[in-house]
Amino acid sequence: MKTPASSICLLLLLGACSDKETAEFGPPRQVPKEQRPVEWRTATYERMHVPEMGAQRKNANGQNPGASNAGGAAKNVIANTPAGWEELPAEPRNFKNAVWRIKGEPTTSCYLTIAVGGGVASNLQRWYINQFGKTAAPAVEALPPVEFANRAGRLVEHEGAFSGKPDWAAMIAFYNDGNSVTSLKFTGPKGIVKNNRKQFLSLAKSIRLASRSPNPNAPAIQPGQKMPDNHIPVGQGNGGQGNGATADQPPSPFTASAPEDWQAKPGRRILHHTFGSGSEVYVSQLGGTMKQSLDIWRGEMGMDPMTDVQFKALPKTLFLGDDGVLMDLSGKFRGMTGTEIPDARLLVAARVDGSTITFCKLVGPKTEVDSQRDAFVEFCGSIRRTQ
Amino acid sequence: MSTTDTSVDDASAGGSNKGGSNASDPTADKVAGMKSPTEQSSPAPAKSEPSGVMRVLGAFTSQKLAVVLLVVLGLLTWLGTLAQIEGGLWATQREYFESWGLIAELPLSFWGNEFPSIENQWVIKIPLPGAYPVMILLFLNILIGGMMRFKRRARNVGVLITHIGIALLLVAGFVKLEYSYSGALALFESPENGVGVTTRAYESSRFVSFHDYELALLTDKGDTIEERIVPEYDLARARYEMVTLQADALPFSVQVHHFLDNCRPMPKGPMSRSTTPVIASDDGSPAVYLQPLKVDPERSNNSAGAYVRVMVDGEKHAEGIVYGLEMLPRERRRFPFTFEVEGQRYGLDLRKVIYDLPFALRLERFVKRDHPGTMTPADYRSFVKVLGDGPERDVQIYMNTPLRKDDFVVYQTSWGPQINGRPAGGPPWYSVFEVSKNPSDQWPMYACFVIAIGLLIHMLMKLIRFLQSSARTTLTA
Repeated sequence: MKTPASSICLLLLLGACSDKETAEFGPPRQVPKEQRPVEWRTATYERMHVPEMGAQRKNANGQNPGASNAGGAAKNVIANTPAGWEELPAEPRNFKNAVWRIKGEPTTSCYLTIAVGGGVASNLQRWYINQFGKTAAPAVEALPPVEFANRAGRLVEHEGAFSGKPDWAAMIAFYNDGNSVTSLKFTGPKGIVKNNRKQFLSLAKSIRLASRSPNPNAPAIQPGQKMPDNHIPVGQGNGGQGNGATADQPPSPFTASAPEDWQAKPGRRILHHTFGSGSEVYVSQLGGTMKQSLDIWRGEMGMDPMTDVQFKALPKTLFLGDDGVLMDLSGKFRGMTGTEIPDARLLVAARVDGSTITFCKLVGPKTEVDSQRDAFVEFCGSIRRTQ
Repeated sequence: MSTTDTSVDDASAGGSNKGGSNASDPTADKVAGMKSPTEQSSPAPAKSEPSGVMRVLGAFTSQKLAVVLLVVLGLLTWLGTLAQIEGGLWATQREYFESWGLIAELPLSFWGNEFPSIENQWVIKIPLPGAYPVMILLFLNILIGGMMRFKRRARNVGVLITHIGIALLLVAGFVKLEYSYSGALALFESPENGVGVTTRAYESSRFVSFHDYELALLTDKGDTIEERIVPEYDLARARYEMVTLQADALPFSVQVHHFLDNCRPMPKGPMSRSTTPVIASDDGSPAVYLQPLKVDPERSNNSAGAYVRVMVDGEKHAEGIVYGLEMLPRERRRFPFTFEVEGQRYGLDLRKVIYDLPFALRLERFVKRDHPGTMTPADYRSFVKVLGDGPERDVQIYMNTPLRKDDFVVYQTSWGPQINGRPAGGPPWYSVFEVSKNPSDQWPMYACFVIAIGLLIHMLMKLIRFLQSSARTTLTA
């Protein structure tokens, strides 16, 4: 037995020797430039092929990437600073696109974060559990609605020990577009925060985001001003949700044949259509796993997450040129934006698409959706990429 | 791997075993200088016992071993085919066919369903040698048993030639495994008006490896770029510790750490938690980190990344991330992490291994014809122009009709844009070729010819002997 054992040890030793802590660069070789096209100085986001980093940089610094933003909030964030509050320089690198605090109260902080990833669930978990030590975070549907940046958002209010500081409180207004969350967060000593609740809500309501105006010389939008109906989507730091409505946005990444009785709805959503009294269909993308995504929509129908057996048993449908899963649910629908449909039917076709989940979702009153199920399946089968 | 026919020939040639209990395999355990068990038990004059070396040699040359090896090869092929469904082609090939040993897993199923249940499926684990040692043993078995041991008689020449052909086939496989390389070359259709998108690849004289990475240190020399390469193999340890790269002529060293086989760069926001270092940028971009992703069994689907730190005189001079996403043919440029030392500009680029070709290809046109009423292609082919030292020439490359030039073979493999094999949008198309350099490229064909000739000779000789014996029998009667 000695021989095999020693042979194995020797082999392992040789194997270990092959992994080196130091290594030499190979000998130099000259290659014509045409043979190796190289971009030497490019911004990090371009070098990494992450366009949303560029979008964040643009959002954060307006027309002058890389410059500090000492003049207060970025030009693309418009807001009415409440009386008794003051605006501070934005800290885009820390994802604080606009910063305020109560005058004379340096312990307070209120900042706007535009379109960062992570999704609603993980943000709620961070705010409740990680920062305030709560045992659980509530469902988003359980949070009260709030008007925030001309959008229907949700309001988080809680108090306790914040990152080790006792008697602290936080108010957070937020909305999401898929996985991307925009929030206004106000923290400080409990008493001060409570006394400034009205001011915080008024600030949240007054905020307008205009990061993608096609005309840089256009007059700035005023606080409280409504966007025109055909205005480009605003506040979309993450370019993944764009629908091609702007000059600097790529065209819709998908194309499809929709039934004649569906009406295309312009806006930020992809292939957004409506029919009947309030049924809507659209295509979007999410991070996470397929099951997580499907469970989110089950949650909207008041259902528990699926078991693995249920998940595996989902029927297949043609979607984006390949097999996707088809989930068909009926019940009471309560969307993340507060939309409620008492007797609803929800259809989702979804498939793993690279590192994301691409899905097509139809939700509406059951009576309307019942007659459109086959049309939905056909619609999903016709969806193709445009590039 | 001597055949039964050969054994019969040998037996008849030796004449000692005809009609004996081992008549069907009289030479199975016999090598030059050895005797079969039948002979050993006979009262023939005693000879010395075979030495240990001869016993080992005997074992190597036995037909029994050949049969066992062929059965194991069959088993490996079957289990490997099943494994690649879940495990991906690249990983399975490594595990089953290029390794020395493995533990194969065979999930039990009943009527196509998992058995006994999805949650608790039974899996049989089978330890097996890899195909690599099996084929080496088979080669030795053929070489020693089937050729050297062979009685060199005229009647055996066909079988001998056949064995040489099989051995050549195995050698061709070995040479391909050890000395060949291949990769992908993707080109967009050249625009008819000559005005294309500057970043796209329409013409190229290089191809990139499907799987393997290299870290290239680029030095800007004006009209040329000086490259120094570190193969992925030397970065293996950077997956769990720091690897320092250096060269005598360089005024700095490079530390590589957190090498990730599959990852994506992420902007660091308050919502994101990073298990890898966060690197601040100096261009106004948010801080960035590499988010590890689950490694896809299909290795070409992964994008590797790593952290690099440039050290000058023991001090940190620059720090950044290198990301190996391959964007060809949409983006032919590379975007290295750049830094300057002593006024000289350098770049570090983690990239798929680049191979240069002695000629260039330009895609003139790509044509795809679908089966009627479907989007399944019936035929797709590329019309390319071969550019090199000589005159330009037009070539069609399509399935089973590759371009062979200067020891390289260019195969048509795919096209785009497509999503999972379905066309995504219309032209402009791009065409994807596999480029391979394999010294033994044509050897399997030669081996097949040799085997065919060997078998033909053997069959003819058998036929002649049969006819002669029939004629004798008729005459005797």
